Amino acid sequence: MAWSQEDIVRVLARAGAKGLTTTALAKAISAPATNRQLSSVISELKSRGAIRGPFRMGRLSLYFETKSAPTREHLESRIEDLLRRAGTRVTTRSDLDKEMKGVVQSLYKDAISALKAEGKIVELRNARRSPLYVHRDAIVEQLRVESGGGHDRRPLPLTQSPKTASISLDDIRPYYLSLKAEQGGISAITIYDMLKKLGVSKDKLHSLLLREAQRGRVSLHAASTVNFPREVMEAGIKIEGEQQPYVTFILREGS
Amino acid sequence: MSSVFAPFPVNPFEADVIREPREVTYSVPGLNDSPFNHLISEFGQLTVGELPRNPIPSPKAQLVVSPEAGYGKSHLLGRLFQAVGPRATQIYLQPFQAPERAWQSILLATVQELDRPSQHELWEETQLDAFAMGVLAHIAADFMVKGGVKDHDRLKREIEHLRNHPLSFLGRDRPNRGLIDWLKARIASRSDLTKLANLLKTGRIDLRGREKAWLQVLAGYAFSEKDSVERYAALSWIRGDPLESEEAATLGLSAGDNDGGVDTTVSEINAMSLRRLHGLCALSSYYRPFLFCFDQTEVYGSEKGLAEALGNCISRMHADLPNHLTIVTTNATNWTVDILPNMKRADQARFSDEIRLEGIERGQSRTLLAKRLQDFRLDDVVVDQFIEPAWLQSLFKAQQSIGVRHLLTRAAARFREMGRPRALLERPEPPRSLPMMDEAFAVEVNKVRAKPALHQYNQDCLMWFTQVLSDRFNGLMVKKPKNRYFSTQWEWKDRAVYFAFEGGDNNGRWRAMAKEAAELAAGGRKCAIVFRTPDLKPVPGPRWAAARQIIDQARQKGLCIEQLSLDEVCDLHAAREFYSNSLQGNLDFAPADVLAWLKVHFHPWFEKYSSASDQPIAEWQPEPPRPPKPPRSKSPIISAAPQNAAPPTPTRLSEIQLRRVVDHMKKRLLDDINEVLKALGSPSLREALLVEVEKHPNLKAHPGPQTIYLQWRFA
Repeated sequence: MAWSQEDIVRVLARAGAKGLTTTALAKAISAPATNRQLSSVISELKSRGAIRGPFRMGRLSLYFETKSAPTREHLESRIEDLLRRAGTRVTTRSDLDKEMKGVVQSLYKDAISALKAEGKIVELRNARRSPLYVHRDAIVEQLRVESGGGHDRRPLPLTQSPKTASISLDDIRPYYLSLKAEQGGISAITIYDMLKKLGVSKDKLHSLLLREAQRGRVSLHAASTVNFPREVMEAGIKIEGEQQPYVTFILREGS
Repeated sequence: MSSVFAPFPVNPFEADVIREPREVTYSVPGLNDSPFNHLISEFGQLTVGELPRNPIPSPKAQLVVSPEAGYGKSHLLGRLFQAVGPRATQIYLQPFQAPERAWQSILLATVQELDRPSQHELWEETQLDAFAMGVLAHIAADFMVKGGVKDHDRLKREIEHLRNHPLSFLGRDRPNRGLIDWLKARIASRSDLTKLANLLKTGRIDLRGREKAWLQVLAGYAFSEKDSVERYAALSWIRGDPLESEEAATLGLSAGDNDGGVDTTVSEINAMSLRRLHGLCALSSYYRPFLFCFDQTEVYGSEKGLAEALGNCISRMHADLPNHLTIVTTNATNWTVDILPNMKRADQARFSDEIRLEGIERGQSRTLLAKRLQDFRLDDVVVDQFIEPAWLQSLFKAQQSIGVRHLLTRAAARFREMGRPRALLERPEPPRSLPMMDEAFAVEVNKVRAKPALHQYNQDCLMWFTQVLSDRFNGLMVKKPKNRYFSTQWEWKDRAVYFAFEGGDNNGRWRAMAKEAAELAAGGRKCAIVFRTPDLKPVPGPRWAAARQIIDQARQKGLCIEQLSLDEVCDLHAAREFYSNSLQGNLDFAPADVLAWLKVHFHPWFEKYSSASDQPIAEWQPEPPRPPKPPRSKSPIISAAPQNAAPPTPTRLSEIQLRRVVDHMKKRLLDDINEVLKALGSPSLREALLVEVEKHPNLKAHPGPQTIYLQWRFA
């Protein structure tokens, strides 16, 4: 076998969001497409989480390197953006389908269902026409209902998971509000919970929080309970000279 | 660096935990103004409209959340107490220990708070004096207007003045004897009392059939001398305790209104306690709304049942008790991790949105540090030297605001460092060693000792000792048997010790307790202990003939009435506070380590009480009869009352003694309490001196591990 597992990951990474069919992948690593060995290596890489697929897009079945693979969250974000831009103007399902042409159909359907279930978009129906969609924010604004904060404990809109590049407060804010709502509106969120939601490295989140704490947009806090599990304490920020790590943080108003 | 700091026996920054909100005297301008203003505004909604008001439904419990320990929860309560001043009846509640007795604990603490000297009236007047006089003044005014006096139209201005300034007519400094006698006569007259009670009903004040009793009890308290039988009986009745027939007679209560059960279950006592709390809150339509503050709530997170009971209490208070604002303070992670998950969802909805405390910023920090140094008469040059800009900046390296306690801890370390001799300063700074556990605990004991209000009977503290601190000592298992009185049990394979918690002194109830103790101890190698503290009346009382006999017999079988000394009370109360502080993260020690240390410290107590049943029971020597107290009141009813007077309250210094203290302190500015006592010429005046210090605006106590230092502060 002249190719390795790393070759497959590298080739798929190079293809990025376009992905590759099995044939194109085999060609790129100079392996026969029907090779049994290739199928078993693909299965192994999938189980390790290094690649994802096959996703049916039109007539093609495509594989992706994990970071470039389409996700339901990504589609949710696109749908939300589209509907948010439409404001109070309703969007038909067929218009939405046109905008989402070429996406993975199964993920697209899941994304619509999830957004409806979480109350982020509203589906309207009448007898004759296809479903109509409108974003929750447009309705909230029209009804002049308070949203977010401690008053509204429903999950709040989540943006795309910021897995790449540096992150900003805008990236973490939706997750922060969601976590805050989950714990009854208490502002101090554990760094550990945020890391779990974000899926970024600890260093990346720590450096954001420290930077913003110096600017006064975030405050950092030690734990007062003695019942935090070890992993929560270990996810905290340790500062030289301080006895306790900062385990929780608060996004200050206006930040 | 200057060694001006070296001679100070007290570090100005070491006082970094508020033990009791009434000790707050200074607040940094601007710090936590937003939560403070929010609470003031919420309280303001209870004072809308003319008195008497229709009952006002209470808002949700206000949840004050500190991002971590040391952001000023108790300080905020103290600031609030100062700001609302005489507009509220202020009740500070420490955690209850037994979920099944939650209302009893809340009521007991409420009555103790009501009977404390007021911060806003004369020292001689308590919060309950003001409350009772306020209610009675309005009832009297209503009665006059509704035809109770002839030509009331001519008295319109006077009646209005009585409503607006009840204490200036009925207060202890310049009472209007004519008005008081007239009001006492109305309450003593059966027909007029019925009319007064009906006025309460028409004002939509629902006292569940006890309208007359409440008026008699409030009058008995407000118009009687301190330490009188009436006053003591009134407090007992409000606590839901049964009254002796003579006590009920001094208040004029009917047998039906003496409704505290002699032989009652815990749940009946609990239900009675909630009814009394309801009565107090309902009556506050006539005067000041109540402000209930639940502090140190981390303790509720130590046991699932406690957190659930807290939620239940808050829920019932919100739903059932009018005219009050409840405030609950907590640390964020104690709340989200330890308390909230154990609270019913419906109860969680009874709390407001988070009211968040903020950290202190650099400019505010400078103000606070300068104030602390100036209180010690250090001049501006020294203050500037201490608050060196680079040092201050270093505290804010990571973020723009920090916890106040964090600031004070750093400042205390700097003060110690700057007080080191110059020669030592040139050497590298030794690593800072943490204070030893025994030293930290000794400070806590002196803190309790310095506050006479903290010496009162506290059943939650005694329960904590018998249930939490003693658990697993020497193989013992703590159980909660379903006995009527002896509700805590230490059990070993071969023996058992039972504990009851009774702060009252009704002879009927003590007879019932003695009988239960005798039954429990009947099997041998068992004993039954009841603790008493110095502020309680002695049991058995001097006139208890039949009860004394039953109690004596029970003593022979294993009943032990354990009289704790003031030193023991301070030790025990400090222990629970110390443990509570560790749960809140206020100490540098982990709660498990604190508990382990306390178990060792209290080892002699465990030994004493666990071996009580192994000892042959000595012949008990009854107390020598005390000389009867001379009656103080001129009322013929009072002179006929039993000589079963209230326990003595801490004495006060005479005017001459107080002047001597003030002169001494003005000269010395800071001195060991033992030196002050020497100047007074009597070490036995320690408690009286501490009472004066608590009250005096210029005197402050600084408890240390060895002694208490007193400071003279310039206003």
